[in-house]
Amino acid sequence: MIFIVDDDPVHNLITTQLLNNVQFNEEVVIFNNGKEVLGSIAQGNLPRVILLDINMPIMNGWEFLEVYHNFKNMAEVYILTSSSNHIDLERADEFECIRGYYTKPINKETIKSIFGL
Amino acid sequence: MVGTAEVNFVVISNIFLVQNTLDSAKNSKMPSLSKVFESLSLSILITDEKFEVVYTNNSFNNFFDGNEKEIELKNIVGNKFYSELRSFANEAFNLDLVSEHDLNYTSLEGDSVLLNVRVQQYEENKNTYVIFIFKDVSQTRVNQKIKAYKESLDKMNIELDQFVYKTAHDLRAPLTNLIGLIGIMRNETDLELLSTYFDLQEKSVSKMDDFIQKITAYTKNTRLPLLVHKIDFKSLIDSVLNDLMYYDKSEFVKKSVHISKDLNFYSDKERLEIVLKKLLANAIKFSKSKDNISTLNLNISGEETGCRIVLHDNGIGIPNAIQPKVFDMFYRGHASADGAGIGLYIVKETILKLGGTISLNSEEGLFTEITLFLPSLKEK
Repeated sequence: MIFIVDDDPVHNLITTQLLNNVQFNEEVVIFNNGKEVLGSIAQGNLPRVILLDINMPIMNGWEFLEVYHNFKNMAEVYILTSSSNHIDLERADEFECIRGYYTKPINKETIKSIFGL
Repeated sequence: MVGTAEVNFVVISNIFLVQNTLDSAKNSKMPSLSKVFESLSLSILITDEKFEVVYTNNSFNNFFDGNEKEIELKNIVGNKFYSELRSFANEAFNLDLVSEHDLNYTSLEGDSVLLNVRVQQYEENKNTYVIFIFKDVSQTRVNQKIKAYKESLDKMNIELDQFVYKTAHDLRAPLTNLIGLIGIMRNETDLELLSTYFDLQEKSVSKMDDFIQKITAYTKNTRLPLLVHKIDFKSLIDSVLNDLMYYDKSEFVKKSVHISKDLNFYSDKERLEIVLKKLLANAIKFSKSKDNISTLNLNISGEETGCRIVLHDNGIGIPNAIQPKVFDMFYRGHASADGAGIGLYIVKETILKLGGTISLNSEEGLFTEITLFLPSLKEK
């Protein structure tokens, strides 16, 4: 199961479409912010990969990771953000579960690189 | 020449020394205070009940260019300063109070210093005197000002950092969407999908435009001076409501406006419009679903020094926990808050610029009420 966490519906559509284009066949679930993800995990959903935006209302990417990085069975987390700010980049090093940091826009190559296709 | 060098090196213990000396004089009839006073770097002046000079110490004489021959205080310190000291002396006699005042003193040569004057009456051998203790606090006050400036600069720098960070982010977001959309459109043949993508491109561009407009409004508010006119609320509200007519959900919100008659209110029309438009737009945006009867009441009434504007809606309300944060820069409090989180920040800053206040009262799921008080910027 793949979680896409981003409050921007256009980004979510682009990502889903890119996944369709590479015939990706895992289930994809979309969330608007970190809090929704925590709710879903609490209900027993265990994602294999989380594609995570940083800047979101209610609970942003960093706030989510502060909670999530204590969990057992963590997913591989990839940051997908339009922030190319070095502070965000450095902060990504603090979390072991983060496997990659990508600056939007994303394209076919980004998806291939994340999922090793 | 003003003897600043001497009075600058005042240490706090000197004040206590004088204080203690005064106290012991009262209690144990210590014969003379003048020996102690001569050695102080504080300037001391003692007058009797008739405001005649009884004593001045070395530091006082040096500072005010006095000499032993001149005994007329008025001639030594100048008319203006003299009358100020005199009124303090009266106060000290009549009320038996210790008072402190900051006074500007300009010497005959034109040097200006800020003097802190401590005034206290005391009795000795059944005579009553007033003792004045002068301290040059020019540097202290300048330092305090510098410190305050520094603090406000630090705050502005943090805001600026945040601003640049968020601006870069929010300007890039719609652009990256455009690029992403173009990427997936390139090989797309389904016409229906393509049409959806075009719509989304349009939305992204509008979003970016909207953000740039808000930034412009923000900088306008901070940079441009106030332009004060008499406010015609009726036409102002009409124009705002007209702008909001085509907003999503606007047609489902029943709006009622009450404006007191004979309001004689002056303010900056353009800034006021920015504020009202944003607040009304929020009330519409965060109204409940169509099934409810959504209402929005706007009440504008006169106050002694300005006007009060109360905006009440029965929308989704704001949870208690986030109420203190909604006016923060870039704070987005709701999942459907799809903007930059800058609207209410601009409202708050604009209200500040207009010299007014804004307060929020809301209960989640029930209502939001925003109250503005704005001073009239011209005398009635």
